[in-house]
Amino acid sequence: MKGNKLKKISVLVLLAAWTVLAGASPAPEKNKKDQKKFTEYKSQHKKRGDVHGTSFDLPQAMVYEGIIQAFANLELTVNKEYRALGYLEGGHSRGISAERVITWVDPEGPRRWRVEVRNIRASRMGLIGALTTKDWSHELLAEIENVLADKPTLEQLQARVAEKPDSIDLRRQLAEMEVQFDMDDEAVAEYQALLQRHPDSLRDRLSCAELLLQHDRLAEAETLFAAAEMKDPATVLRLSRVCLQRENTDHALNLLNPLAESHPQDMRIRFELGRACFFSGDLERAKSLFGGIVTEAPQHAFAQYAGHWQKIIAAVESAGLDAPGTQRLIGEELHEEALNSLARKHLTAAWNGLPTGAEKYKSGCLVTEICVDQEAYDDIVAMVQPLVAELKKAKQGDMLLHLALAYCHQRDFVKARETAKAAKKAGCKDAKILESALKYYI
Amino acid sequence: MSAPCVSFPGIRPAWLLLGVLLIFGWGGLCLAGEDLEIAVDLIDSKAQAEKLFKGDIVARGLFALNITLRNHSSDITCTVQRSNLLVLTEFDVQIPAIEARRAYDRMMWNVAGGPYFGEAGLVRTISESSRKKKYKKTVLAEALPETVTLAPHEEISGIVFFEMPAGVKSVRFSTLLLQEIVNEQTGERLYRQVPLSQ
Repeated sequence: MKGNKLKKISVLVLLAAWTVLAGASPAPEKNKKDQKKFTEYKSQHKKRGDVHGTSFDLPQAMVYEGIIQAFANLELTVNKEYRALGYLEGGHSRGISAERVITWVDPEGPRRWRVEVRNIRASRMGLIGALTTKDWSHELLAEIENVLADKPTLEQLQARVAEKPDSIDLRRQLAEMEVQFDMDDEAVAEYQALLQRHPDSLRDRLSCAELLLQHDRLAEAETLFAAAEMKDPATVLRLSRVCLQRENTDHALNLLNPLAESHPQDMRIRFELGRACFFSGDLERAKSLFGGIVTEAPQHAFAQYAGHWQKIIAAVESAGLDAPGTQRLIGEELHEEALNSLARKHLTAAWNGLPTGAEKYKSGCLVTEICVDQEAYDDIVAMVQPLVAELKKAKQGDMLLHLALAYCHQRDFVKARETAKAAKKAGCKDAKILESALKYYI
Repeated sequence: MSAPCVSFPGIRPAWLLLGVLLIFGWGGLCLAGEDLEIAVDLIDSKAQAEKLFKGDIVARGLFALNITLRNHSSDITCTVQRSNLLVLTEFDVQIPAIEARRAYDRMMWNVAGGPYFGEAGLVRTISESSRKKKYKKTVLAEALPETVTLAPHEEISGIVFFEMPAGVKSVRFSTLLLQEIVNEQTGERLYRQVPLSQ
C-alpha cells in the first residue's frame, strides 16, 4: 500500500515537473543562420546597460508603431508604454521564467530616430529557469526593420509623388508624414495640391481644414467647403465649435442661428446655440434654450450638460462672470465638453483668482492636463516650477506629474525623474510608471 | 439591446470627418443605393464584456464594438480598413480603433511580474497558459480583420476595440465613422457614419 502510494506521488511529482518545464520551453527560434545580427554596445544612457540598436529616417510615431507591430508579430506582450518618451516594455512569460524586453526610441538627428533594445532574462528557478529563456534583441530589431522596410522616407515619398502626381494615396502619405515631422505649412500645400486633383475627397479636405484651424486660418478652412456643404449641420456645428474656441462668438452665432431655424427639434444644435448665446452675453436666450432641452428631452445626451449650463448661468447672475468660482465652473464644463482651448483660459483665471485650496488646485491640474494635450510644455514649466515645494506639501501629485512630462519633453531627464518621484510620493499612481521608465534615461 | 441597423439611400452627403454627428433623418452615403448595411453593438459594461470575452475589458480601460457589414450589391466589392474606423463622441472627441493585439495585451499579466510569478511556477504556467488560450479565443479570434473585403452579397462580423480616453465617461451617444470605404470596381472612396445607440 505504502509502495503504491509512493509510486503515485512520484508519478505526480514527475508529471508536475514535466508540465512546468514543458510550459517553460523556449519559443521556436528562427533559423539562426538567417537571423540578422545587431552589434551589442553600451548605451549612452548608462542605466540601460548593454543594448542592441538600429536607426530609422522616419517620424518617431511611425517608428513607435513599427515596434508595436513587431511585438505583435513575435507574440510578445506589451505591458507598459510611454508613447511620448518612446518607451515600451513587455516580453514573453513562461511561468517560472520570462524575458523582459525594453525598447527606447531616441532622437539621433534631424528626422532620424534610434531604437535601442535590452533583453532581460528573469527566472525564479535558478539555472533551470534561465536555460529556458532566450534573447529577443536580434529577432525584435530584425522584425522592426522588416515592418518598417516598406515605409518610405520623406525624400523617397517626395520623389514618388513627383513620379505619380495624381496618386491620392501617395500625396496623402506625404502630407501625413509632413505633419508628423511638424512641417505643417508643407502639409497644407500638399493637401491643397491633392485637392486640386481630387476635389471630391472629403476626407483630405477635412484633414487640411483641421490643419488650417490649428493655425487659426479659419477663413481658408471655410473656403474648403462649397456653399452647399456649409448648410450641412455636421460641418456647421464643427465650425461653430471652432469659432467658439477662437472666441469668435459672432461668427458662431451667424452659423448657428439659421441652422437652428431649419432644424428646430435638433437638441444638439439648440445646445450649441445656447452655449454660443452664453458666451455672447445673451443669458436670457441661453437660459431659454438650455431649459427647453432639459424640459423637452430630459433623457437626451445633452440634457445633462444643459443642466450644468443652467447652474453656471445662476452662478453668473449671483457672483458675476469674472468671479474665480464662476470661472472655475465654466472652465470645468468646457473641459468636459472637449473645448479645451477655451477651457484653459477660464481655468487659468480660476487658478490665478482662487485662494489656496482644493478648488484652486483642481483648476490648476486641469490647466496642466490641457497643456500636456496641447504639448504646451513650456507653459507647464512656467506655471508649476515655482510652486513645486507647495505642491509637494499639498500632495498635488497630478500637477507634479505634468511637470515631469514637461521636463521629459525638454529632455531634462534628471529633473523629470526627481519630479516624477515627488509626484509618486504625493499620491499620483501614474507617476510610478513614468519614474520606472525614466531611470533608463539617466 | 438590438443593434441599430442603418441602410442609406443613394444620397451623397457632405459630412465632416472630424465633426460628424448623428443628424436625425439625414441621408448617408452608399456604394450604390442601399448597398452597404452596417450594424453596430456597443460593448461597454462589465456584464457584456464578461459574457463575450470572459474578462472585463472595461476595467482595463477599453470598450468594443461588434460590427456587422453586409454588402447587398450584386456587382460591387468594397474594402474597409480597421485603421479607418473611429468613434466620434458628441463633443467631437475622436477615438481611433486599436489593434486586437493591443486589447489582448491589456488582458494579460505583466511579464516577470503579476500573480504567482516564480513562487508557484506550475500554478503560474497553467493559469497563464489558460489565460492566453482564453483571450486568443475571445479577443483575437473574434476581432474584425485589419482589412475587410466584401464581395457582392457577402457579410462579415467582428469586434473592434477602442481605448476609452480619460475624461470621456460614456460613448453611448457617439457615432462610428467609417472614414473610407473603397469601391474596388471604380476606385471611388466613400464615407459612412452610424450612431452607437438609437
